[in-house]
Amino acid sequence: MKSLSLGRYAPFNSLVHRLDPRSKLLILVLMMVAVFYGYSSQVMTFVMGGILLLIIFVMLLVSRVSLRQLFSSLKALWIMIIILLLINVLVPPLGASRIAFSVGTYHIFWESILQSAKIILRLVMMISLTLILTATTKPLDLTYALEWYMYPLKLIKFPTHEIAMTISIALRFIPTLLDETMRIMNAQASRGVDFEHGKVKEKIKAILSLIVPLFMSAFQRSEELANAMEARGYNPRAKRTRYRNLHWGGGDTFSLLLATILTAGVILTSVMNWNYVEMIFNITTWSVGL
Amino acid sequence: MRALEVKNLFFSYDGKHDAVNDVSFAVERGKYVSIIGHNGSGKSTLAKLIMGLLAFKKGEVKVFDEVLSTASLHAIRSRIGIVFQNPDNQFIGATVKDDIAFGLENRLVPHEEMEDIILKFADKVHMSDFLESEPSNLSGGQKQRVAIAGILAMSPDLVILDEATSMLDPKGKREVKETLFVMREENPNLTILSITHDIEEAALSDEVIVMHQGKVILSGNPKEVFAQEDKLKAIDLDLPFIQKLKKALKKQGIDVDNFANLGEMAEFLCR
Amino acid sequence: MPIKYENVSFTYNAKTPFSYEALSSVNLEILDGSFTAIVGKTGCGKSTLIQQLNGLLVPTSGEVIINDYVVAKSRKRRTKKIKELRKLVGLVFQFPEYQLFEETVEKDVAFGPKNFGASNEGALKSAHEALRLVGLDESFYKRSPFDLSGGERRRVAIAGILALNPNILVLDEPTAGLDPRGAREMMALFKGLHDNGTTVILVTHDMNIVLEYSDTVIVMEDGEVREITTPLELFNKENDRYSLETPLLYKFVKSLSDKGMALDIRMIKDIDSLAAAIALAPGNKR
Repeated sequence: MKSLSLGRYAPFNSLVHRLDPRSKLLILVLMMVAVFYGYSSQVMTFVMGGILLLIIFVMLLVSRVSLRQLFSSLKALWIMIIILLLINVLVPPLGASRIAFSVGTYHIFWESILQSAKIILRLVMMISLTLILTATTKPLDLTYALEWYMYPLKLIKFPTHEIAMTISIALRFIPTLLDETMRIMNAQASRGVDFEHGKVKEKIKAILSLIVPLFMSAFQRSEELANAMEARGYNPRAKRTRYRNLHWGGGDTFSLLLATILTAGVILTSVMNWNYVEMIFNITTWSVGL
Repeated sequence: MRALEVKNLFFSYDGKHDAVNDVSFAVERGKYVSIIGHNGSGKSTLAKLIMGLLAFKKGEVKVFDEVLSTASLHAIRSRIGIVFQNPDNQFIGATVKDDIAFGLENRLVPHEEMEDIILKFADKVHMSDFLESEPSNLSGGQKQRVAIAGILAMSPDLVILDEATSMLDPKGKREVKETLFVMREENPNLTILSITHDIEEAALSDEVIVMHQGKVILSGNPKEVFAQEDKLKAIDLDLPFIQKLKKALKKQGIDVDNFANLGEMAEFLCR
Repeated sequence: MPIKYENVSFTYNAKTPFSYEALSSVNLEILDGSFTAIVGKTGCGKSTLIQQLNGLLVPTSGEVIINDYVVAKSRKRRTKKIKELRKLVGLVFQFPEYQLFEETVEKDVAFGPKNFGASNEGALKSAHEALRLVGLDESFYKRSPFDLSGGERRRVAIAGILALNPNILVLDEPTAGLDPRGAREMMALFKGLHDNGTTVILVTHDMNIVLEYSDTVIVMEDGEVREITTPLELFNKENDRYSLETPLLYKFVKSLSDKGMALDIRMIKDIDSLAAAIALAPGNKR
């Protein structure tokens, strides 16, 4: 159970891997914004969606994220996707009029299909972006990035360091806790607990027999950890030096700039109602007209 | 100078029963002292009291002539390195390097000096091949060695081992014991206080302190302590192999009482 | 009926890049009523081996036969209701005290029997009997398991398995982390059960325990069974090749014979017999 492969860090050395986690986090946020912007015409929605998808696809490639990983992440959400599709098909958007095909007396509108396609497109892009972040950034580095962004909160006495330390210790213990869960499950199974079958009451008992020991051992762990940390001179309120430092490089500035331009472009396009297809069409007819 | 002086120490967890009951002893600098006794005898509580992790209600603790108090806590802790029993619950860093760095960060070691120190001490405990390893991929013995590297990096004058090998397999136990030799080589003046169940280890130390139900019932060098068979038997503590063998041989009419270790005894018997 | 492993192999995470063969063509028999120790350095496959005994793990190939139960991969060969096997084979993992979760000691010990269909009264009765066996009296019944000391909690956990009345008791390092007195009391408990007919299978690193309690030793290495022998035979050979810790007794015997003393090894099983053997050796220092 040590390999939680869904979205896990893959130790390659791609350009994206080498970026500072702070820039990656910011870029993720910017691109999420870009993904969610809407446009007045359906055509533009899909043109922009296509452009963004292409860009994200290139990012996936550069980050050495395998398409298989993407598909397995999507597979994990297949239930949600089916439900989304169903809702959209059964409840057509307002003003839907163009019937695509009919099942008996029930009509399925083009608008519904397009809407569903739009949603799935956004979903794929969101998941891809998140995957790029988690596959190229060690969880600990992400924590450092978050800590850095939370720095201004220190002014209002927000315990940024303590939270970052808590997160990094929690991350360090995830594999250990997973191992322990397995061990407890085996021990309880050896006493006749069936984690798969049984009535509701039995299942609840089964889960309790897993959760209670985990919690109790977690409490004991925390106490021992706290003692060990104190014994080694830890004082969250006192000044500390840092072993791992983040390094912001030229590549980070460049990537951030690109992402900003892209997102600005998207927002502009949406706000100004630009229609690229018409624009290109006009230009070509205009040039043909010459 | 005495590394450690404990005077009339009292401590209770629940306010009714004393886990540490009027304990007094002293440890000379540079000595290897073992504390033995059953679980519940107060040994681990004692270690935590010395580190100031628990507050005692009565008594005094002096570490290198400095009295333990809220004010002196930080200074005293910087001179002591303690290794606890559970290898996982003292491994804080995400990797071996990060864990060794943790202590350095706390003590404000400048960033530029950290890498060299980490590499040096990882090497001393033979963990140079595992610098970027995560704890979930390390054995108990390896994790304990990293803990030792972490405290050695702070150049302690007193090392406390709180049943540091109890949860390890024989290989892990051996690795940690070998690392102890490294410790003493590094710093011949190093004082080691080992809380242990390993009676053979106690037999090899400079001094043995026997605890039972919160009290010190015996102390002295191993020969003196293990000669007190009746007292040891009364609290159900076993004798080291060499003592038991001496007794058995005596019954056969062979006197080997004066031999300090098995090697010399074997030599004598085979002459 | 002996327990039989017939050509058992086991691979973790088969068909993935993480696949690892933990057991390789294991063939062995464990006799009814025996006290068998399974030894070998960490990673040799001991834990994997014993988990086949109660069906927690199922062989990738081969079969394990325990009385009428067959533990095998193929559904045709595998006994239906393999869960019942866990009443016959009580498996106690390392540091079992971590499995306690109920509000009271007696409830926790009764948990096992209840899972196999015992009534409340029946389960409590078995629980009380099991607690008596591990040396915990009525004063412990209603206490919270989390208020007890480590050693007491371990005994409660073991009682939890004993309450199922297993014929075969499998223990993985039951004395790990205990002080010498606790270890001795624990082993005395298992010896008592063995004397009453329970087959005991013990995975351990402690060679002193192997020497003192077991009648058979199975030595494993790299997922294979290297030897099935008796403790005396094992320690009288060169066992450095298995990286096993020789008990001090035999280390000393070896140092004596290395220095030239002629000792009759067959008569040495404890300190007193060692002293007697030394006394009898030619040229002794009486």
